[in-house]
Amino acid sequence: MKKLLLAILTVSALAVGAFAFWNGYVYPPYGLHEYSKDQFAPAWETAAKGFCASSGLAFVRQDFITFRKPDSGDEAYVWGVARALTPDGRERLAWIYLEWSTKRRLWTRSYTLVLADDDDEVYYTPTYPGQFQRALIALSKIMKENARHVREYLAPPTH
Amino acid sequence: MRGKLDRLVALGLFFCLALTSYKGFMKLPEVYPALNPAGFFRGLVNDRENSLIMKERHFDINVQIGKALELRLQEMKARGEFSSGDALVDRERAERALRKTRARDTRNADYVLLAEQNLARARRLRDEGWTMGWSLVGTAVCGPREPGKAEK
Repeated sequence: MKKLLLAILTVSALAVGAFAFWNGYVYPPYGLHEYSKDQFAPAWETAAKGFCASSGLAFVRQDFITFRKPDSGDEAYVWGVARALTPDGRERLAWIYLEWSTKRRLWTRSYTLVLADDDDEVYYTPTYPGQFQRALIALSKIMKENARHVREYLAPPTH
Repeated sequence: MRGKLDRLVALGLFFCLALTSYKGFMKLPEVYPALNPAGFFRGLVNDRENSLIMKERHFDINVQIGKALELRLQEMKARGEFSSGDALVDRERAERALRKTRARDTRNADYVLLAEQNLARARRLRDEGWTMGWSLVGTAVCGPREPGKAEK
């Protein structure tokens, strides 16, 4: 019984670890390997289209894109907003933010989300929803984002 | 055999202690800018530059959240909806969120300004070759902060 428990624990720890590694190392630069630091625009567009496709949205256009790099270091950042349409024709804004990895020398996805989405914290008031409901929403957002990563990884490339 | 292993462990621990002491010593504000000014000021200015970029980004995302909320409000009005299926989103809450977001814009603009000032200060310290000095009693000499308001 103790052995079985230990085996189950080990397997689940390995599974969680492998998924965390995949989410943190394999997925972020997926499909962006070919772009150099100066090719931030096509890298951003690839990430934006991949995000929209895996979120069930139709990419319409780029609203704006900002590229920044410090004078004193190797870092680089690009962020922007993509306009997209839901299947029933509602407009949504998607925030797409990529960071240049100085160690791996490639663009990585950092923070991507649909702004003011149906489960966004921006609608919270001090009394609604309750603490338990908030925890549930937060967990569901994490799991949805994980599932979206997998969908984006398995989908055919958008470029 | 046992004694040998003990000595090995003690040696390893001593090495770790020495390394930690050295690393800590080199990071002291008195020591770092004096012994390795190039590294110190590169780190200082780089940190402030990246902070400024971060504050700009935080300003931008909040502005865009406001735009997304406006879009949703327009959409709800155009479609005559008071709730878009999900209980969390309704007109009242969206309007409240929009007001909060606009208030945050003001604060975020201040944060960008502060980050710019911090960067300018780091660059000034670099150009002046600031060091903390070694005196145990006097205050550090780092030049007057504002013209005409020199520290005593």
